[in-house]
Amino acid sequence: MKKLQWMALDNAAKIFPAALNRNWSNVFRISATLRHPIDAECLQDVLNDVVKRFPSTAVCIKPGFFWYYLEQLPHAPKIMEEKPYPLSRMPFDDIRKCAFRVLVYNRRIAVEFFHAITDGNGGLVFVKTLIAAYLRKKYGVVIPFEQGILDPAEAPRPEEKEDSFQKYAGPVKASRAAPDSFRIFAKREPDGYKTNTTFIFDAEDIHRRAKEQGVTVTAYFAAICLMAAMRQQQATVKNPKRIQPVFVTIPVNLRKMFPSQSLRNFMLYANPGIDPRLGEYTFEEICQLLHHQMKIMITPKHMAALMAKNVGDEKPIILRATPLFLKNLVMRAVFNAVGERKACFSFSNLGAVNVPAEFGEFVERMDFVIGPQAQSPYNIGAITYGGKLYINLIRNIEQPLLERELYAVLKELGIRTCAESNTRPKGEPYVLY
Amino acid sequence: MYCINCGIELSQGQAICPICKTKVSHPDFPADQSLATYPARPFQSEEYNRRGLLFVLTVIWALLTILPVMLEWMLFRGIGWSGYVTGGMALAYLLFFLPAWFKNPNPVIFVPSDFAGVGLYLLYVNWAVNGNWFLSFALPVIAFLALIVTAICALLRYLRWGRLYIIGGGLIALGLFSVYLEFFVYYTFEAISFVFWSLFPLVAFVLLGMMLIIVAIVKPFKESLRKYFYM
Repeated sequence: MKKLQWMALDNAAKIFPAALNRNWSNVFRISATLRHPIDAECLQDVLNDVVKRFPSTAVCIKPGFFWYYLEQLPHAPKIMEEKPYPLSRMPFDDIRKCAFRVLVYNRRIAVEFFHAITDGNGGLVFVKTLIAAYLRKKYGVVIPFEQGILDPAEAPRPEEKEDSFQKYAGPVKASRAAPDSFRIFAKREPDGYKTNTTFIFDAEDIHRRAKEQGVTVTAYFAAICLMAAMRQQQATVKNPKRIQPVFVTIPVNLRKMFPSQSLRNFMLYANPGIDPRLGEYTFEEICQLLHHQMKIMITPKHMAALMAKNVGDEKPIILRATPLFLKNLVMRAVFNAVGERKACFSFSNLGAVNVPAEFGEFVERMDFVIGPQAQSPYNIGAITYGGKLYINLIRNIEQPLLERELYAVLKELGIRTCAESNTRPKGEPYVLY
Repeated sequence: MYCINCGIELSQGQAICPICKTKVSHPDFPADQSLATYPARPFQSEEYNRRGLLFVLTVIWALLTILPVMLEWMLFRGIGWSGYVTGGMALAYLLFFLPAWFKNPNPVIFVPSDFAGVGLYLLYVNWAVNGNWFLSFALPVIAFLALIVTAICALLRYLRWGRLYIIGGGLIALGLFSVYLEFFVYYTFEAISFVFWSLFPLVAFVLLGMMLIIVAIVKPFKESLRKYFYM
């Protein structure tokens, strides 16, 4: 029997298993909706082959004495049926068997990843490779191995498994200090139900509008979300002394700045925002502010300095020699105290998904959803596919507070959208989770 | 398809508007569950469900309730201290666990039931210690208190306005209750004086209640207090 590979968690991943709790796990999801119903048996066969190509993604997470570690899976997990909501909790008992799950519903294949094993871009490569292999087996389509589609028969390359943070960390450390942000607090769904609302836009229209403002699509949409959050704060916080700045976390794909081939986590965050205490902001102002803040924050030098800080934090021998359960206690306490205070929500844009034409003929749509944060109820994922921009807004509270404000902003800006969601019917019994 | 309330365009198969939660219906597009974004079938928790947990707790509680009586009966062929324990356990179940079986327990039903439970427990204690105070003290006191608390709960639940009046009136009634209580203490247990300590809670409760009623009547005062104490 072939020996299973194991790897230490990468630098960004170390916090995720420690921060797990009864009600929350850091999970994200990439799904593809095909034009024909899914043959689950065929997909299972394909998955069995594809997992061998991804020894750093098709893994489980096990606790060692000092650190958690990733262990390659001996075989693929069973494909599961979709639940009434995405990104249901992934308890550690599941993660220690397999840190991702593949779900099928009608014409949709979804893969939900525990964030410690990969980031959005690594996940996207896995999903594209899985779907291309499925199309090849099911319909006999020849799909070229390009644009992020890997050959499942090929041996994994060592650079795909590397912890690129260690390789590209700079010589100087940058500070992570930042002011606290306004966060939305409201009554949570008692049973952990998550409502995912998808706003569908014409990608060309949004691109044109962003260009008119002289900003990227990410900055443009982050500005819309910030405007909505700012109005939510105005509506709920009446005492002017309690008004706080509003920040949004924007994950940055470091592969665009450093020549990394890693399929593991290789991203950092930028936290641009506005301070409503200084006065009213117009939409144009917010766009420009975000654009310039992002320009300053998202540079290879600054990112390398942030990496140096994060990598440096795990280096001290005392920390490394501390048993895992003690590390977990401290990391959990730190995460709970400061981890999510710095932003109202994350806005993660996977960008435009490029695929070969043969792939596009069979795949109608792709979605990217990131799970809500542990304390803040919202997170936003964006992806562009087939000329459409899909914004997935997930929440774990009962009322669509941010969605309403967001729709109001969209209406004011004259942006046409189409919405869909899994809003639970009124009076539906709760199922404790 | 568009939402008839907020006007947002909706994808096919949407049953509820994600923005305003209005039910979506269109004569040309009959509701089709197969087009829904996610399956509707509620999935059972892998860990536990609420009713299952309550059932387990009830069984454990029932065992703990019966056990003292059984033990004392087996050892001494009689029921003494275990009767109080068992009665107390049963009363605690009535007070804390029984409402948890219901999604929205109605206090107008549960509050009188709780007082009835307390009354029965006191009746047992009265019988067990050969006391002579249930009819002359416990019953009138519990009945009056049950009346006040149930009336407050019912008014708060079914009237949408006048909360300050209700709470103010309730506080005054509780002040009067303290005098009523002391009277029955005097009558049953032959205390030193008819009215002594109950004057203090009476004055405090009446003042608080009157203050709330004044706040409710004088609207500008109410508004300025709301502003001043805003959190």
